[in-house]
Amino acid sequence: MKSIIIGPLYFFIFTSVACTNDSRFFSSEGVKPVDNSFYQEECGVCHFAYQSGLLPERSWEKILSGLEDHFGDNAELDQDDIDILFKYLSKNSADKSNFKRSKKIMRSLRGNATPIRVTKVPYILDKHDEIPKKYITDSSKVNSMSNCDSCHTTADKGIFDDDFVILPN
Amino acid sequence: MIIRLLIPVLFFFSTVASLEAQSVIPELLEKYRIEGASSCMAETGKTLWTKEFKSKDGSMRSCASCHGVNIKETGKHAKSMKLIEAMAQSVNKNRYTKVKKVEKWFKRNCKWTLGRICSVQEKCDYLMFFKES
Repeated sequence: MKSIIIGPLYFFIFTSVACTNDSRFFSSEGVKPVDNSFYQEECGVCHFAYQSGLLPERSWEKILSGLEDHFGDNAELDQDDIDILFKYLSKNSADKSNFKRSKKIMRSLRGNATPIRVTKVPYILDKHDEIPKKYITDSSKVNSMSNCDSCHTTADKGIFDDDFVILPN
Repeated sequence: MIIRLLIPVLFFFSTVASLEAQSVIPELLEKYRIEGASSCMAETGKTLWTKEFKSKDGSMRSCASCHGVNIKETGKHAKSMKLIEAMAQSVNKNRYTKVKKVEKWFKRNCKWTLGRICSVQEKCDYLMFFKES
């Protein structure tokens, strides 16, 4: 009688813990989705709101210190707004994250490498190196590798699996 | 009996309705006038909108480059291709509800397009253009 209950009970406990999203116990898939409305608004209005887990803290610090020339655009902000953004980004940056892709991103960075472009992270470059130009830079619907959500239909959820990629052309 | 119940309900809803975000354009226009702007005109703002300025990299830029000539229509960011909601207040009531936000975009976009911050006169003319289109 006991074995009929204990076996399935252990199985139930194990699977429910295994399925939990609590990343203290198991690494979660992808990167942590954006969960800060201020960041979403300030950094997602001109381009895709890149999740904090896509770059290490030192990269975010560098980006936020040069907003006057933000990849050719002026994205200036008041210092107190920059401080709020940095607090959020550094708390959830790739070097602090237990999410799987964040860990892979960090493993691909040598030494103190500080990329300021998500698209130049070695792990991400490697993932895209076989895609013909006609699907990215030569496509008017995509235009650039930096427009993640043009192809990655679940990018806003932090999920970048092939299964959810649709190439516009 | 019913009327006694209805009055507080109507009062409540009218309060809630008035909490909807109000346009800050009148407040900003007044602020710019105090700071020296005068005879602010939509027509002047419209002319400035399509004027081209040479940037440091040699490219010519205007407000219309991203926002479009017709501000009742959606614009598009040249690189990210993100859509930019129409600038005309008549078609887009979501805009111009926060002073800090308006000033933030003026600062960024004037510096990027004109290569300098806009004068209070220019900002005043632009706001008239957005308000009256």
